[in-house]
Amino acid sequence: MHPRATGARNHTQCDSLLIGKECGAHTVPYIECRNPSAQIEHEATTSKIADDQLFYCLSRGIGQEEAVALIVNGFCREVLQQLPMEFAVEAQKLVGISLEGSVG
Amino acid sequence: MNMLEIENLHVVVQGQEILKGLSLVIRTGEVHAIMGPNGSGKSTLSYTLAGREGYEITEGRILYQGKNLAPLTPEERATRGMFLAFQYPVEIPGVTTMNFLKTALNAQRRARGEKELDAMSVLKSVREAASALNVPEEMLRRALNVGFSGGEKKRLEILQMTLFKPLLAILDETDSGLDIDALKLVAGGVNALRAPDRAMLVITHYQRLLDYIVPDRVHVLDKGRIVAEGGKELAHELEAKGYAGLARDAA
Amino acid sequence: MNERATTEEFLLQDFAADNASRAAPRPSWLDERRRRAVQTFRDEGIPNRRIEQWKYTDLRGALEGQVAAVSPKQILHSDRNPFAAVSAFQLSIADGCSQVPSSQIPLGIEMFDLGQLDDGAPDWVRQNYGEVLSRSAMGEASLAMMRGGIAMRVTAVTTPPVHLGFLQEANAVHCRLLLVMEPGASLVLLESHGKGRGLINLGVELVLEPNAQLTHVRLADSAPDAVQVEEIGMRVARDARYRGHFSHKGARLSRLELAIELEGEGAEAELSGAIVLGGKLHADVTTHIDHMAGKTVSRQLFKNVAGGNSRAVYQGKITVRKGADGSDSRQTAKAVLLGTRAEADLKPELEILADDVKCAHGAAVGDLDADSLFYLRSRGLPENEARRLLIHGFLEEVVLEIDRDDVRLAVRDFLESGLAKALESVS
Repeated sequence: MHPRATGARNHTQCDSLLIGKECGAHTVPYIECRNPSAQIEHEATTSKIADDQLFYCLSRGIGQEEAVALIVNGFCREVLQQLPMEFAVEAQKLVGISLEGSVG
Repeated sequence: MNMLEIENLHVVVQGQEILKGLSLVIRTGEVHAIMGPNGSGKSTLSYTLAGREGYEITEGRILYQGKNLAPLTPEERATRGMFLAFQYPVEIPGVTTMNFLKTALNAQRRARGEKELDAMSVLKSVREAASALNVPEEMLRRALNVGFSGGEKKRLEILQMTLFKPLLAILDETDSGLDIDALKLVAGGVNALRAPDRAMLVITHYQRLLDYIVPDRVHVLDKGRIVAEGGKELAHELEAKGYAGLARDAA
Repeated sequence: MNERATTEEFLLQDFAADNASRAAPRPSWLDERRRRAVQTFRDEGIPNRRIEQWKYTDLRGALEGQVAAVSPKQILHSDRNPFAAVSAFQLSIADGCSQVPSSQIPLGIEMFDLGQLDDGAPDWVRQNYGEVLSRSAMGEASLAMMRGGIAMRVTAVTTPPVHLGFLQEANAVHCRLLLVMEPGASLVLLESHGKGRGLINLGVELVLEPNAQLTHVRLADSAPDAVQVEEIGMRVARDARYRGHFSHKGARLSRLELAIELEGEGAEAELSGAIVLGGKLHADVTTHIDHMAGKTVSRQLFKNVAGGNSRAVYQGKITVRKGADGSDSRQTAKAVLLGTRAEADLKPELEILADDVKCAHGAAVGDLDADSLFYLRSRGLPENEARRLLIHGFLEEVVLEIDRDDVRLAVRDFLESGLAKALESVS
């Protein structure tokens, strides 16, 4: 935020979901503010898929891999929803492809 | 003498005209009620009176004790005896309720050229007001409104009113979110403050509160204008017919 | 010779001359370690803004041509002791030198004057000294040019706090602190820094053995003529707990760096702090918490207020290593600017390599809440007073992190006086 950015606003949310033992997540926001009325917020969380969510899906007869895909889709939904329909469908497919074989 | 005279008031908030020619006179010693449906401009009126930024008077005027209110800052209005009981009292972490009350009381006294009160005298006055309103001592040590229930917040607003002894008290939907016991307690506190030198403006959606705080006059606000006026019986009429029925009658 | 060499070489020569004049002891067991430290300091040089971790704090710029220009032996000890109201065992460290008393040291604590570091140093000093703090340029400088300092070993649960009051007259002082907490031991350590002048570079090493508990509260007064660098390295073993609080009023340039290794399962670190600045002051708090083992916990809450032409910086890195499952890390950093010429920078950094973890961080810079401001003004508070009260509330959350009543009061007073100054520099 530059000195003349009076009343400017920014909110960034950055959540990471870790799947499996071999992955990592890195988050490094830089917040530099030189205007007293400007507002910047950054929030980030890192978590793994909750056991109770997974168990709930499994107990309803959904297989492990499909359950993870379901939960991951839910996690990404908020973001994918922002896209126009044709891109959202593509993006959802990509999420599905990149998940293949990552569960173990 | 008139405590408050509002003449043809037009107020614009974020580019939209909310009050569209509201007029109202409250004489000293009187209690008036303003009733109106959601979105009629009730809260806009209370914020405009308290001087909130972003509430722009584009036409008309407000006279408080015979003087133009518009140029005064919110704190100057408070110092001159105006008090708004907020519909949604603000939570302020890190500032204890007691510290807040002391700071506000002394800021007002200082601005009026009165002697500031020491911690002991403030504590004494606060305790007196608190016991009448069933506000426990422990609440005063907590951060202002943080983690307070709806009823506790409203009781604290009335406690402030008791403490500051305003000349014009505006109660913005003080009844919202209160159960019947809390409502009686709050109304009792308000009634105790009725006095010949004090005026009150009670803003409410429901007639229920007016069973306990009986007004001298009732005004019905709709779409930014007063559409009906009358005595306390108007509130009951409104309850029976609803806002839509009354608006039809008025038209 | 380029300019960079001159500042580093100046510091090394200044130290050599001072050392010779005082005939300081030279322990042979430390020779090699010192030589390497000098080498690292020469190779890496004083950090500048081109180094990522020093992006907001230009230490080289602040020191170049400045250290030599300060005339030494200015008397500036009019400082108030911020912990005056706390009943503590107090030890002054002036220009790195202290007089460790032979009696009166609280039970369960051993003290050793690092200025007298020789071949007779106790084993616990020899094992830990120079082995905990990371080998960064300034950390190595404090070892290479150490004028003195204190080593402490705590072997029991101790009650009276130990207060180390740092004072400075010389134009460049490098100093060390070593604290070893034996298993199950506990201590409250208070650290204060006065106004000072020139460079003070303090290297701190803290070792917490299993189940040890250390509460550490550091208050640094405003020092418009000083450059304060403090690097703290820490190892926290199984089920040990560190609680640190750091409040600053800033210096010409001030940098506090904490590197915490949560080595053993169940180790905990809780950090809180506030920076309240006015004038042209600068303060930087940089933390790195490394979750190396499972079920480790870290908490951070930092709040900064900057007025005048000042600059407040917070950088906080969290690493969760592979296998550190069940770790739980939370970090909150907030800043408020009081004027149009002040700056606040926040740089959180999360590096998560384990999957069964809970990590959350929030960082925000912004103005005071408009609703709260209006509410207070509608109760008769003039705008400046309403702002002051809201900032007080903003800082109070950090102050409430401190358990002990007497220390909490001292920190609150310290920040209130800093806030009054910072607000002055705005109007």
